[in-house]
Amino acid sequence: MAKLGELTIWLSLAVAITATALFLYGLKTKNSKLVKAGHAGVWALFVLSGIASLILLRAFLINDFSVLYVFGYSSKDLPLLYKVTAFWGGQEGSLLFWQLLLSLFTFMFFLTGRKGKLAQYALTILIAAQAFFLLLLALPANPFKTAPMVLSDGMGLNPLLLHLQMVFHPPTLFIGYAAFTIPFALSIAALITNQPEGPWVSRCKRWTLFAWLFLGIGIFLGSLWAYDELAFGGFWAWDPVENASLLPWLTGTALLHSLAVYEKRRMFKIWTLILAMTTFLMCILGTFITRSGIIESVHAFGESSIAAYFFWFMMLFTLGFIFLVIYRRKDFKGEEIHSLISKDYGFYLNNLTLLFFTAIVTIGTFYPVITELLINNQISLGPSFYNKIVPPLGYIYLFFIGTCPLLGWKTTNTVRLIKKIILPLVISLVGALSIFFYWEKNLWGSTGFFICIFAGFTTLEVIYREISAGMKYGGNLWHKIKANRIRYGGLIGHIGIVVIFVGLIGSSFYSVQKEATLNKGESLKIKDVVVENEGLFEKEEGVSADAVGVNLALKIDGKDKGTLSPKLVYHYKQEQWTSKVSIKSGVLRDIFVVLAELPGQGESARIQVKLNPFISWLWTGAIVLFVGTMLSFWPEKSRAKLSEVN
Amino acid sequence: MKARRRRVVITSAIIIVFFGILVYTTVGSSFLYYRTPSEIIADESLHGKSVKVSGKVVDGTIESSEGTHRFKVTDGKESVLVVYSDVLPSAFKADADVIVEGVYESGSGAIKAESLLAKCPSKYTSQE
Repeated sequence: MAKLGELTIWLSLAVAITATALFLYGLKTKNSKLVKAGHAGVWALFVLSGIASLILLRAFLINDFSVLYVFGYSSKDLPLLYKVTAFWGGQEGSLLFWQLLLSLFTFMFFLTGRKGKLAQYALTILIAAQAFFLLLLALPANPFKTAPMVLSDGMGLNPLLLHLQMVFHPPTLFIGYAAFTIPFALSIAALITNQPEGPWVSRCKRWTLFAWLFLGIGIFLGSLWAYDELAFGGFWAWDPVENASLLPWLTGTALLHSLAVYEKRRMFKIWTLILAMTTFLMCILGTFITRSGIIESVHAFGESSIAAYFFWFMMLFTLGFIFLVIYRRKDFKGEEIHSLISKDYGFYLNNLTLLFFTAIVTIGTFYPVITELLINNQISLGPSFYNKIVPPLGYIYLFFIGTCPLLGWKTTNTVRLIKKIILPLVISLVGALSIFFYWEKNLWGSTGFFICIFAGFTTLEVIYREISAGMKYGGNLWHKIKANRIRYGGLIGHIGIVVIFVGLIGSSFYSVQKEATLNKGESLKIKDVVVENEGLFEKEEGVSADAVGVNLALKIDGKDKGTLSPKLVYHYKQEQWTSKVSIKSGVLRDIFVVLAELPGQGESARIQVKLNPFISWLWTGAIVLFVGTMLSFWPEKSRAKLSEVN
Repeated sequence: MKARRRRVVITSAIIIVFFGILVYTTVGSSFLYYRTPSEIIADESLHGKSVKVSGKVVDGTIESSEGTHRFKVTDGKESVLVVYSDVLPSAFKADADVIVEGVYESGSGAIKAESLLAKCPSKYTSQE
């Protein structure tokens, strides 16, 4: 069967190359028959990628350890769900998964509109991109490589990945990565066909929204997993792999906003196209970072076969794109910004800040590579680099979020703006000062809360004012929101971002922790929280692992609040301990307990207790953000029907 | 038209310069010298500096008492002692690949680690 899988990949590669050639030649010679033949390639690639994926999935399900990839990421005792998800546990499978998604999205793009030269060129780019992934799958990253000898059982999945979030985190990320190819393909097609205006802009916006939503959910699930499973008390460590998923999300955010301006105001045209390219490159770069090991050691660059492919692919697309942009720069010249106090300029500043942030994270991530190449001295930037830079940048950004909805397109009446801004400023100042004096004298924290309250207040006020003004003439509230869903979805998303910031500020500036070895009956006090060792326990954890843990009685202000049971789980197969934290989650704070070690004397246990204020706001805010995004994404069709009914 | 454009350019330049200064002042204090254990042993100029070392945990060298862990990290040639006083990450064990960040102290010749990462094997697929 593995041979058949390999054959399918090679066949797909041949189809992709042929279809690209048919499209290019057919479009050039205006031969619609050739282009039609190219269309067959679109669905053929989807079907073939589907078959290849099914063959790999089957190998996982029937424990075919003769396939090296299955051997490396699965085992007989792995639960069924994780056998399925082990599909994308490693490099080869995740690339195949990416290709499957890309072929699916190309097919969807084809079904939702293939008319016109621009769409045809976009399809050409999409198929060419598939050819790249298929080339990888055929040569350096072949998932169907077989073992020369008989292997009775696989290596098993890393126990840290046996977690529900890990079932959904990789696929959502990959949906985002793959879908960002479409805005990029549309941009190139617009440049080639020289169409600065047209329906492609709103089409591009919808795909961007879709990709951005899934990428965001992927990052959210990854952070949730890190918080729950990695036991370091946080959710983000500025690790290159994490940065890799954040980078396209940042440029994607900028792209989303500049597309809105492109559509509405015919501005930022070249800028938007460049963002579409950057976002696509960042997705590729992300895979490049995670899969090539370049950050770990520069020396891996020469060794890793996949890195060279990625490098040349990125170079080819970037240079081609830059050439096109320069060639068409006059035709894509947009309207100019009229006033510095306008939504136009606000969007511009938003973009500038996001891009600057992207540059910072890119530099931070690649610093060891850059310094090694330039001064032959590998220096990396520690988390302190990000911890110092991110708060001021984030605050500036949050301030833009708070002010932008108050500004008008083109120009703003300054007097009215000042009137609108005074009340929120006063309220947030009072709020921040009370936090400073009554909770903790933390300057960075209070400044952050000041901006959070400000941005939250102004955004809510705008929503309230607009809806209540609309309601004066009667009508259904839901219809009002639905009729202007892109705007309200955006504003709800902003509320989500503000709530996320509350979580970020609370957990990074106000968290406290303590560590101690407790014998049975002893207790540890941290602020108003007391945990008391009630003794150890042992537990079976399925067939492949055992756990030992400690029961801790939790008391807050002397009142019983239940038991926390952090434990250590031993996985026989991997000979590895993993720590299972115990979290008491609340609106105002999480009580996060880790069992650090069992010294082995009596029932003593070394534990670490951490109080994380507002961290649950992070997850809540993310969900609000996704709800807002989905509202914006809701199909326009029903809106047309709605206006018919009215 | 020109005056408008100039205003946008000037304000953008101010913002970029401001951001630039922010970065410039932070980068220097966040340097971590990325070295192999052999390079650390050989280079005296690193004493007292922040370093980042990656390597394998040497089997049999892990000692823990009262929450402080001591172990050696090797690149296959030399090994360097690491002292770490926080909770060990889940993937930490003998022979695990780790990345240690901390200050290389001249007196003890050990790295006083501020952060310890044990590599997540699925994410960093090694190349054959």
